[in-house]
Amino acid sequence: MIRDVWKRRWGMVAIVSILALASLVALPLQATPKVLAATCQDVSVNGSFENSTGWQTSSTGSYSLFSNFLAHSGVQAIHLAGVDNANDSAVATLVLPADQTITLSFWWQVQSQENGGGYDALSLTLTDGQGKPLYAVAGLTDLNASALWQQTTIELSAFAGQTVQLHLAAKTDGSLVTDFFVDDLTVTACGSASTSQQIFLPMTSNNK
Amino acid sequence: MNSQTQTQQTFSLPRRSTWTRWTLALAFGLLSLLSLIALTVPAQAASPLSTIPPQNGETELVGPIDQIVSSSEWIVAGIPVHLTAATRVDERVAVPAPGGWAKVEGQGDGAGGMNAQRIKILPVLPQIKLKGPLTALSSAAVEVDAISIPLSTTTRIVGDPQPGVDRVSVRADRLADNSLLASRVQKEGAADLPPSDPEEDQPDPRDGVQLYGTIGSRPNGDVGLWTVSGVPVSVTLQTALVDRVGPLVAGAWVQVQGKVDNRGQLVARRIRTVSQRSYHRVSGPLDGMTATDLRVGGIYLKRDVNTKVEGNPTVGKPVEVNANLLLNDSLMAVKIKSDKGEQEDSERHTVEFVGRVESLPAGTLFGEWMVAGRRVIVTESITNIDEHKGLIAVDVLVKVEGTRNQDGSINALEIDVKRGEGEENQPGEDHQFVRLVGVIAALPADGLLGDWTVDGKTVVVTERTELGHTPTFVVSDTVKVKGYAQSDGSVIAREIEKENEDEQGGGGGEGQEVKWSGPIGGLPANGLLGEWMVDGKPVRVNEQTELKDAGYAVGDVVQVEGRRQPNGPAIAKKIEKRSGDNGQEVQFSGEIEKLPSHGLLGEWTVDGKTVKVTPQTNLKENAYSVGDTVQVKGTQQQSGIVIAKKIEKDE
Repeated sequence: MIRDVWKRRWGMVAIVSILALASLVALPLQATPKVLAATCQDVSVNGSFENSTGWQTSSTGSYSLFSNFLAHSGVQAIHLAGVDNANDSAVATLVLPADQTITLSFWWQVQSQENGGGYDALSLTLTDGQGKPLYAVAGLTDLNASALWQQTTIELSAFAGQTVQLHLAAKTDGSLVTDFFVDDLTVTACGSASTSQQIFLPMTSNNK
Repeated sequence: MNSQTQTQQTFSLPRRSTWTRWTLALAFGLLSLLSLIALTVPAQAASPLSTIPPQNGETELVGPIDQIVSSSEWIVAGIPVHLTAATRVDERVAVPAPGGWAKVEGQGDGAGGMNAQRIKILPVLPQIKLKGPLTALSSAAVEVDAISIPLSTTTRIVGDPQPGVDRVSVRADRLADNSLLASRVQKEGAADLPPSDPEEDQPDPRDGVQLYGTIGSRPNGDVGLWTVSGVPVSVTLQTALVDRVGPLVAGAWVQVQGKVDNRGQLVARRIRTVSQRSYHRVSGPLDGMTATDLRVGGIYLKRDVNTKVEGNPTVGKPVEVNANLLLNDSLMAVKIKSDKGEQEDSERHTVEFVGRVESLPAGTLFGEWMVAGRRVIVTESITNIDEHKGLIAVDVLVKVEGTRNQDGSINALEIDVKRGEGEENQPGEDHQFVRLVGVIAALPADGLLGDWTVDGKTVVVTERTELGHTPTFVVSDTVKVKGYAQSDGSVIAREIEKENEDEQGGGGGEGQEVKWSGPIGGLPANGLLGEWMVDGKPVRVNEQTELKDAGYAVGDVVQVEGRRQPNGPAIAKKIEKRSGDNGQEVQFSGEIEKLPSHGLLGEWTVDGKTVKVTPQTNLKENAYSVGDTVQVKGTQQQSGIVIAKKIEKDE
């Protein structure tokens, strides 16, 4: 009988130990992003568009491009065009740290009365300080219209160490309007991959 | 008993201990499970802070504002619309007012009206639209999110939509008594998916191949060798560059139309930025295909066991290949499709194609049309003709959506006048794209719109002409004009910028000595002063250039020594023919089988040979016709083309 009791006790201990071990295997993995987050920084300027800080804008009709009409998160997004013959732009300066992995990410939605054809367009371009185009980040047209928010992510590590401008420019033709919405724009600069760390929890056992 | 009690106690202790351990085990187990779930479940796409929920299930109404009853109650296309403090109203097109149009997004109120989440004021549109979940459909009415619109026998029901299952798009007209009548009820395609590229341009007969891809590299100036999706692309002075969807820089998605030359370079007739695509794409005639490779219109791609083949791709017939760009800059085919020129939407039971109108009924738009070789039946009560982008006429490009009849004809539901993506479609843009640099001799009296005189040419500036970074121009400014040459010699300007303005942004390299050799690809139309193309690169010849030889012709191999200019062609100091590299002298007689469509410059076919006539060719007669027998003297290139020095009719 006593042997049975010990067998059961050891059984319990074994189960507990296996589960604890599983937890320990899982925990460091789960903790990794948090640790990575500490080595990454968002170097974008006000990519949530909750206010106008950091952006130089101009619009055809002198309307504000910071709008609460449709947002991916928060209350506002940047809303370009939405009128005929629009020529709207928004420019922000990005200081990209050297020797880092730079990733630009943003959410977008295009709503259009066009029936396809790509007549109305939004471009996101990296330029130098004088506005000379360096790299085309994305191009969207009324062909991309849908009722869904979509995300575009692009690596820009080639520009690490430079101060560049992110230029959003929307143009529409003279009929059938298209609205371009951009929200939650982040530019993440991360250090080398070797910075990830693991956290180990102490394991205790009760063998009584 | 004691022993039993003891045993029971002994057992009772482990039982309490087991509970504790089970609790511990469960806690650890739960922790593990949560950890694993956290690892495997991706972050939620939309933040919980979002003020307005996702719109996949939303209902959308587009129609005229009949009445603004109060700040919380509007009537749009006869349908009551309820607003709350949370309703967003976009007024950038216009202030809301009766007679204006609006798009209302929200949900049905269950009683035939709508609760609005967002309202966007729109310019006036031709038809009322209602999109949303189909809640009922009878011979008398269609109900979308409980909003009812009457039907008649002329209403077209497309795609067999099922109430409670499908989303539909309803088009409706307003009758004289202000009531609505649905003209079309159409099942929506995959509503949750963004639309695929619904249309690509019709292949232009002038092109051998069309490439959609990303710019990998390009020279500082426009002219020279670019790479697009790993494919070398030669850009010449004749290449039209259109940058409406962002600038033509590295990373940009572009459409390249042109022909691959005998050096394997795609010589671009036109490059334009387009919206981003899921795949790189090559369209053109299939040159050949093996298990591992294929060539389309002269462009090489790779394929493997994962490459899907749709239809029956046949050598010599058009195919469309979707591809991924590999790290080594080669294109790996994902799907090879024999080009049907028509897209079938099996869900909506419709077909869609783009083509030019070949014929129209006399005096009316209703009746039988011919579009790209297909019979299209256009009916007043069924077909919606959208002329927002231009008026219907013979030779206009249109997109046709309709249902197919048993005899192969198409009952048109929708016909839209179409332009190419990103194009302005200004009058004359089908003409040749030209660039010119010159001094402004005259400007319009009032403002910049109107006729300018630049370099002796009339340059027409419209509202769509882009006028550089600093649009202040005065007579005597030197400007660079890009535009379309008209038959009267004028140029409709697409872009004008000051010559020095362009150069200021050009960066270094100015004045750097350059030297290269290669065949002459192009010469100025009149004389030798102006821009030449040598080995695909432009070079400017001016009065100071030392020309070592008596004459030069396209195809001659020359060595250029010069000085690089920022953003512009190098200026030649010296040009001299390289002996031994030029083609073989030939002389032959034969019948003219083909002449260029306009003028005499360009490619002729004489006795089965391609003969290139340049401004330097000595044409002994003023006129030549197909069937004339002529004697040709010239140099035969490795490609077999003869660059003509002299052509004269045989007596």
